[in-house]
Amino acid sequence: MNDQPTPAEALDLIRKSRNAVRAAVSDGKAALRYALIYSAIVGVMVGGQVLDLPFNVVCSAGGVLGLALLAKTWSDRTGIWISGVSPRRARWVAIGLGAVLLVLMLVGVQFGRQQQIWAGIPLGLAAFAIAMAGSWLWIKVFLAETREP
Amino acid sequence: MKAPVIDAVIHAPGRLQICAILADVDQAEFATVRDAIAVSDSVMSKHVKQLEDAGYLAISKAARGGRQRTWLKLTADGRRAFKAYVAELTRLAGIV
Repeated sequence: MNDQPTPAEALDLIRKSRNAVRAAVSDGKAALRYALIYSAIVGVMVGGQVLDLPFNVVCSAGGVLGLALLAKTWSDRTGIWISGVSPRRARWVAIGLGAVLLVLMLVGVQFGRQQQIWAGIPLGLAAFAIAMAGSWLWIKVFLAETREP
Repeated sequence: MKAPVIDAVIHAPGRLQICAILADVDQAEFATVRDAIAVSDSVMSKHVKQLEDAGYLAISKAARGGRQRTWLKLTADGRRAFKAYVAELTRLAGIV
């Protein structure tokens, strides 16, 4: 190809280049592993909110640290950094997921105040399931959004 | 009919591929982008320099795993320019 591609050639090049990012994001086993670890951490963060101080704070802070390490490990491996809020439509999936998980954490705090520690397990499991579904949805939306130039 | 307005900085194949990759992510490592577009270090560096000089790309360096890694990101101007470039290409491709 010469230095002045036609519009059709340029659009084709853009499509091919975007596939490199799409392949990294949708890499089957790696994407599943990422979603499982992410969801497990989120589950602990949410479920841990029913515990007394300082254990609820340890769950939150440890969770944030775990999520940061997870993102850094993925970024080091792929050479790509995606915050989750970059592409326009996928951003709303990430924000929506964060909002739902935040509500679950607040519900957990409320159960904790009432000493209903048992609620931590169903809340944690619900957070895990929601995070798995959210991760899957985010990938689908990201791939759809980056399909065409 | 509107005259074509093609951004010459982006329009070279190497640079438009770099922009296409960076447009979908927050940052990408120099080596990852270089491998994705299959060019040498020196060619990649030239493209990066031209995009940086145009204000379309920002470079940061971070030591990770005991080695220096170079990260690239599109600036706000770069994202705007690439979006406009793609819109113009799409318009022109529709005409042809």
